[in-house]
Amino acid sequence: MELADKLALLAGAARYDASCASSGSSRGAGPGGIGASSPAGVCHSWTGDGRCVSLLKLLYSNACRNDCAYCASRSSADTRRASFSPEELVRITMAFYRRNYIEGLFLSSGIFSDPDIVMERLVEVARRLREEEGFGGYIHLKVIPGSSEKLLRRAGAYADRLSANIELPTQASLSRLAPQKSGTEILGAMRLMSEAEGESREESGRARGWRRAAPPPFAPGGQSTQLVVGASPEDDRTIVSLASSLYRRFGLRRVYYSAFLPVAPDPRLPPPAAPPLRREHRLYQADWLMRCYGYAAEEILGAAEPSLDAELDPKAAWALRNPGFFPVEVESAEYERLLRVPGLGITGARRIVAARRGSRLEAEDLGKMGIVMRRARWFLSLRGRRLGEELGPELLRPLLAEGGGAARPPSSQLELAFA
Amino acid sequence: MSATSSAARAWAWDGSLESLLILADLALSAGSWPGSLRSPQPPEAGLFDEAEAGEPCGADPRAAEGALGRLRARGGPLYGLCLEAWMSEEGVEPQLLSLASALGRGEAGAAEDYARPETRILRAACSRVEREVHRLQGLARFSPRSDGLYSALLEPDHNVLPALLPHFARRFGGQAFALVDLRRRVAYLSRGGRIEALSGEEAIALGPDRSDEDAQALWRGYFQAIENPARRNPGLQKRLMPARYWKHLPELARIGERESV
Ligand code: SF4
Repeated sequence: MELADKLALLAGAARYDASCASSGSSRGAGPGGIGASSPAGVCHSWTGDGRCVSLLKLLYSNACRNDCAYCASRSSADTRRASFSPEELVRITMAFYRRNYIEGLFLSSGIFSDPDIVMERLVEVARRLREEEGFGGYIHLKVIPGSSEKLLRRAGAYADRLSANIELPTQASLSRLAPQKSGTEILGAMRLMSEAEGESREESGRARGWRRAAPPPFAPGGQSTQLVVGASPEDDRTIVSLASSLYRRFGLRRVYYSAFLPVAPDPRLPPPAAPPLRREHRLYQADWLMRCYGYAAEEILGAAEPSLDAELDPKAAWALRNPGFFPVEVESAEYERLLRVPGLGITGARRIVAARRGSRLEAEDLGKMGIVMRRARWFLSLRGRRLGEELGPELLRPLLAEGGGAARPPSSQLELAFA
Repeated sequence: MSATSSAARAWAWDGSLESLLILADLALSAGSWPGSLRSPQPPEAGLFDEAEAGEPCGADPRAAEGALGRLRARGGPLYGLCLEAWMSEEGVEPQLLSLASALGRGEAGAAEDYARPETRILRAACSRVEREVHRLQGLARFSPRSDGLYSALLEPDHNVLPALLPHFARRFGGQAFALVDLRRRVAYLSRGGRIEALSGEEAIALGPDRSDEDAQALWRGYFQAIENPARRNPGLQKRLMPARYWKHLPELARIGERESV
């Protein structure tokens, strides 16, 4: 097969993996090498559906001996199969990197052989990039569950980030839809990675203490995972609390959610429908609230609420359930309290804290500071006076429905300096 | 906006970054500035020597360096704001000098206080610069020239090449590269650890000198393969990556334009 055809086939098969971020790692080129990855991450293009193109995302091979119902590469699928060689992958990665098309490589694979053999191929590509090309860009390797600890540790020495996909929220769903996969094995790989990460942190601390050169850190960009939403019957509460415990137990950097896209009819799957994009969006908002706004999983969805509100973002939903928390006083409330006001994000809360030190704030100033007053006024007071009438949850609900405004990632701040 | 009397004579500014740094340093140490800027008189225009004692005109590089050191040492975010204000080309220098004066008067936190109009206007211009810098870190497209140099053509809204240089110097390691601003006809060449600034024809001549169709075709193929037809949202794509940048992107430039290269 021509290289261009192979590239199209193995990129097409990898495209549904959502974890495109190249952030969270910082490294420079080796001597005589090229490339550096920066903690903020860089988008090199945007696809027609608005996804950031940052990494060259490919499968090493789309041949697979497993038969996961939701996957286009499953063994029973009638599709062309192909594999790269390490040389080809190194050549394409370097050509694209030098032209500034990409930040680095995201490499995954179908299980074309024993897990150790597949994992060894992925590690070999990363090794060549680092050792033979002096490549300092970003490398994300998928961990093949069931591969040995030794290979996993080698992978961590070359890669910025590793990920083992949890795929589905429960073992019951895995058994039904991905019968060859085992939740224990996947969680085992996550545990190994989090242990190796911890050891490597300790070791580099010790090396600093002794003023010795530290060994290469284990996957400095940490680990992430992904799960498919809507292929199995679990509710949002199950997913949100699973994500929360993955963050706590294994120190994951990110959990990615991927709305299920039917690839072929299968009796094990729900009947074909549009991908649940709204649901995926709400899950990302809930995730963002847990990671950056200090919400606990139980605050986002209580025992009585199985699913996230389709019309309200989860922050507004929490505000309506907790009227006693409001109004929040602009002049004196702590930063963490300000963050809980709908329409007021991290930037807005920081600006209020900075501005009220210097000047006496007026209501008109708030809108100019980037706060969405249309949403926030109902929850704020200024020197004891409410900025919006006190309305009950039933009246507020339509005013806050949709429109977003809440959980949006901040744009990264840049540091400028002349060379 | 400024606490100084309107009688003070407007400061002369020649538009260069160096003299802006000097003015910001003056405003910072005086805690005031005259409230308006004027362009410097060409030397032959006036019968009398217009330059007053101590008034900066023209860019004395040594003076600029001293000002830069002081701004970095005690101006907090002021140095960074000077660079961005200048790169923005939006005429926000008066706001910058008002802010420098306020900081000079000991109004700590003024640079973060969005209730102040000068901070708000200045910061808005600076964040447009930051956004473009961040965008172009991703969207600059290099191609190898016959002399081995990797060269990128850009047409930025703001004068952001100086801010892109350190990023690409770090990224390219030892590899020589050039950034060419077609709109302002300036270029920077980074080779052997040194950076050279060029302008006019010399700058334009640093652009790509041959087709890079093989690599570009492979990249276009990749880009088409990752499209997800079920989720198409062209409005969002344009918002994230405004169409004015597309011309220099091999994956999005229109066929006709592509073939004329
Ligand atoms: S293991 Fe399952 S999800 Fe992975 S490639 Fe094979 S069939 Fe697809």
